[in-house]
Amino acid sequence: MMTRQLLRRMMFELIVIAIISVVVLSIGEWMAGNKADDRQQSEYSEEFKNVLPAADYQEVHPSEMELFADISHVYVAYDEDGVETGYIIDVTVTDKNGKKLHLLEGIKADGAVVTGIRRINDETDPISITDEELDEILKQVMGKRIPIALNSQYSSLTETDDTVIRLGGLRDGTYYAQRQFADRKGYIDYVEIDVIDGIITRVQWDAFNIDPTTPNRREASLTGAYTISGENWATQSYNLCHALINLQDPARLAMKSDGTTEIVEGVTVNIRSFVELANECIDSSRAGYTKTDYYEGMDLAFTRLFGSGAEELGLVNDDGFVVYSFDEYPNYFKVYDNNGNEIGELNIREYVEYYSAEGSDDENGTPIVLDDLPGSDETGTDETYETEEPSAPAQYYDGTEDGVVNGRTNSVITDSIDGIPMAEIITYIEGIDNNEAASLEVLSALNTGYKFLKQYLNWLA
Amino acid sequence: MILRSNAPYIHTDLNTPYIYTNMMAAVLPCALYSVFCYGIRAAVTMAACAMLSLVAARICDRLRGVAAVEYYDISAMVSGIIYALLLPPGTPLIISILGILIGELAFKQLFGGLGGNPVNMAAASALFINLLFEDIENGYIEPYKDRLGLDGLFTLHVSGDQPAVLDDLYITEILTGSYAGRFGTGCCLMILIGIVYLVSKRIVRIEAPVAYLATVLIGYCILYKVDVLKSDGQRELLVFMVTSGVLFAAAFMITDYICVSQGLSGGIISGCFAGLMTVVLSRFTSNIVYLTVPVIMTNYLTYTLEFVISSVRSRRKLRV
Repeated sequence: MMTRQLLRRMMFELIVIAIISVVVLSIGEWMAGNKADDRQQSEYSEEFKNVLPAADYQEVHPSEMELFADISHVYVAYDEDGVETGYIIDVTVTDKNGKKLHLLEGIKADGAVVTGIRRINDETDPISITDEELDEILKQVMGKRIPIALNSQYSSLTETDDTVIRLGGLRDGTYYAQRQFADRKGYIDYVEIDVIDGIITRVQWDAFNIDPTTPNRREASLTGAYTISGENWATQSYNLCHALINLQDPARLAMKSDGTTEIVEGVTVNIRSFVELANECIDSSRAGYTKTDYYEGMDLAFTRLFGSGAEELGLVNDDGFVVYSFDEYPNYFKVYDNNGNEIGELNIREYVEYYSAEGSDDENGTPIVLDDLPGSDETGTDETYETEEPSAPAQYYDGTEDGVVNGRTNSVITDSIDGIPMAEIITYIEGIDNNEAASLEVLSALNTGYKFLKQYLNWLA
Repeated sequence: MILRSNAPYIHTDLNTPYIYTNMMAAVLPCALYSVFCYGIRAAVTMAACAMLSLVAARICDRLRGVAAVEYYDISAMVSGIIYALLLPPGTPLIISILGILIGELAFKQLFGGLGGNPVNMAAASALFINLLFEDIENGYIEPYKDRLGLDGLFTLHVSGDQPAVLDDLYITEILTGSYAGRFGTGCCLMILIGIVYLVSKRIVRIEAPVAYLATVLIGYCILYKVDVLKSDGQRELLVFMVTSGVLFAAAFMITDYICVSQGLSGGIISGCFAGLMTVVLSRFTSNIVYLTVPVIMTNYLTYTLEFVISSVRSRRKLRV
């Protein structure tokens, strides 16, 4: 029989055994955890040695990956000092026949140079490309900057160069515009564009929230905190920005009177804010009014209103955005005619121009009258610059025609490669002899990596 | 009141509740390892198997009209836990439970219940379930990863992957069981704690397990031509001894009081036979087969072996 004393002794022994076991197991897990990291690094080193040699690799899972279905893994490479040296992107591209090509591509952090490509060879229905052909194209792209296109692509595009439409008068630089009022969910929309060689090369549309604890709209839509019908907001924003890069003109987005567009696939949101802010950015570009100038202009508006700039007022968030909604001053930017009728609102640049103009020393809050505005006797800004039309027959988009695009069946111009504007393509190569299709797929994989890194690293920002 | 009863009249600490309570304590490190590595999944599976085994044994006793024993029998619980520790972590609970029911009914109650089972219930149940549901061998899960996860536990589908590739593992990982293995057979350190405890409490005799392990060790070296003088050979041997589950079998299945001969000569012969079978079968069959079949075959031979040993002893006595 088990006596009480025996039971007590057994309980004590059980506790001792349990403590010893837990201690041994904890030490074991700690030791194994370090070893697992070592093994992982060893596997990475073996796998990536011909793609991008490095001392250490870490897999990352940025939210931008959701926008690139072709990319399955992204690794960051570090040197011995822990300095980021480049990126390894695991990408699978699919050609028009559904055949796939799975590649690992290495891209240097400094200069976006290709450091290597390795085929994984696990495609169920692979495209036709031999190892020799891959080596041939690898020789051509190694050490070259992305994005990359074939010489033949450049030739074909220049032959049809009459399809290229670009806005006139754009000055290179980064331009920015944000809403002066938050929407009902507290979001303040902003648009930022980059202009290089007179072409819009990057567009970003997002919104930050007046509540500092709320993530920006793009991030919130990816986490599910901000939901809309159709594609998530981040995807729609991306598609719209991408469309603007292709079309170069917000008017060509054919916004309807209800604020939607039908010509950009996957975009169902109201794009009015985007179009208006993009137009403001374009006006700023024409006026050479950069992002820095814009923030200085905002400072002026705050100084006139509160006596100090945004920084002093603590209105600049961690991302550098000026977070303020002029809800308490709804008439601050309004413009009135001589009869006192409201005829519109000034944007920041116009506001600055008004107060910088000679003799405009009005008191705080004094209504702005049309006659006082500099250049108010001239035609509107939009009419100052004309769109540089190609020599081809007139193909004109009229964005005011409630979504109607005049005289054009194809709504997207073709001066892009893999969704990247021609102006952005840095390197041209010959490709593989007698296998252009395979060359295009390899380059498509590289250019997908470029587009991802552009988003991920916010290049040109 | 005077109680009258038949022999034996000798009372010792080494009675059934004491033995199985100590067995439970010896299994505890492996059970803790299981929960430490695989979390709630392991705890739920072990608890379900242990409780169901106990309840099934009680119900069967009642149905067979066997009077309740005057002590609290937890042998069924111990068998249930040992069986659970032999399962891959991705095994659905319904399959684990099925194994317990089959084991309890087919390998124990049909033969008279407690003490009447001809084979080790845990080994037989694990083998039976593995043969019935081959897919559970794809139910290996990385340890430490998802301790709160119960994915697949309450479905009919096995969740997980193939067992770990041991070639790439570091020795520390192998010794601490930090690889995808069965619930409780992976960590040799935990099994050794259990063995040391059982031996120190004199619950088991070491003849059978030592003979088993020695035979496996020598047999493996001979059959697989392992050069133990080279580091590769030493590693191969260590990996097999530590990860195949032979240590677990030696600690908790070869030491079975009921089914394995525990005397000096009987234990050595049983251990050698089981070890030899294990090595031979390891060449042709899966892990669970070469782990359990030798135990079950040894169990069946135990009666014959005991008869032969006792006959030899009797003849010797007669000669003397």
